[in-house]
Amino acid sequence: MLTPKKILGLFFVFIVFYLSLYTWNSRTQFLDRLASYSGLEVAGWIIKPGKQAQTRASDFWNNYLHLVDVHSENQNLKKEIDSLRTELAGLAEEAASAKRLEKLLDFAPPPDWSRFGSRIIAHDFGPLGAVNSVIIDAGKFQGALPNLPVITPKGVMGRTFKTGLNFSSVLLLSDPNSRIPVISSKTRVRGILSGRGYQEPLSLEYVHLNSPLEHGELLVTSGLAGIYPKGLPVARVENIFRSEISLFLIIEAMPLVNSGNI
Amino acid sequence: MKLTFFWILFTALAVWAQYIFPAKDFFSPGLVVMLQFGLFKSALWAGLFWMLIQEGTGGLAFGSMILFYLGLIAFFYFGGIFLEVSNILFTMLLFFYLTVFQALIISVMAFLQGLVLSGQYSLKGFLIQAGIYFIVWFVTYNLFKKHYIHEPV
Repeated sequence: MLTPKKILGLFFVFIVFYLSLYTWNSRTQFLDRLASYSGLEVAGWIIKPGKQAQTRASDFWNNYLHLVDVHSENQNLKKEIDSLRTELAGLAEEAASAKRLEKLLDFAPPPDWSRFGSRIIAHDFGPLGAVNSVIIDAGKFQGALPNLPVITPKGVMGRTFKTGLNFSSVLLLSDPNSRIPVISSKTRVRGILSGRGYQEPLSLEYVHLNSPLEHGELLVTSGLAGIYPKGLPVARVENIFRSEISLFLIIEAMPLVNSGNI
Repeated sequence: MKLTFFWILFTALAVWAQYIFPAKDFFSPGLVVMLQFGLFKSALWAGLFWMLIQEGTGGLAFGSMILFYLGLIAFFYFGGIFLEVSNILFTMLLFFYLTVFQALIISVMAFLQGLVLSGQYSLKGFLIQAGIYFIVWFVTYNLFKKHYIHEPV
């Protein structure tokens, strides 16, 4: 029978053991790696086959069965392609001249980045999904490392923060712990873009009151943190408010990738 | 062997359920069922395995699930002094306690790790989690009792 004295003793022993374990893991991250290589893998391999079957069934339904409005959508897309082609021709000319000017000014070329594709297999998985995150099917074996940018064709989605062997967790832009140094594409105003949760606009911080930032401007990565390469589109400026008590503007920006609906 | 198969199937279904219901826990009722049937050794191994799944897929540094499962065992042990552990009232109390305790542990651990939580805790969320715990426990408990209780432990 456990007496109160024994219970207190056991409690004390556990606290010492737990704090030692926690401190040791903070230094070595051994248990974090163990959990990523085992738990993340197990969950990933259980979800992945079903998720693939679900995707195939959904593709089959959308491509072969559910063809309502396909013709009108096709016409609209053709029109959009024509307009984009015209825009692309203009931009290609501008890009070529920018390259020529860079060469003239002897700019150092940016480091080469390689891209690889992956699929999202789960969203905010489990009770410890305390941060806005997704699990993707790319891990160490596919070349994924912690703090690697994750992008979609629309723009930046987030960065990896935990990598297993074949799966990784991605911290989404919308999470309050996500911070990205950005620069506005037109007026070249710098700031830090941080998340505020799902369905909420992002917040652009540390932008001086006199900054010439414009409504609707595109925010791209500035490349200063060393995680994201320069020039990846992240968000568009939605609202600019002037604070009476702060030295900085209050700016809301809509992410190009909707974290709640990826 | 049949027991092992039961818990492997439970694990696979719980992983899928956690995929369908983001940020919810489906494993703890399994642990409660094991403790209620006196399968302490199985509970230890399953707890360790499920802890790795939850920690590996979670966003916090390792350690939160140790405290959470310890809280579960402590409530089970001390609650068992006053109430019958397989009693439905005790089980409901346990699940309400686990729902609140889980939020407390995650908030404290996130604070200690310098993380900001994006306000995902609400009364509705608590009620959904408590409901999930109870439904999963009810189904698992009855299936386990019906099919596996006669197997020697």
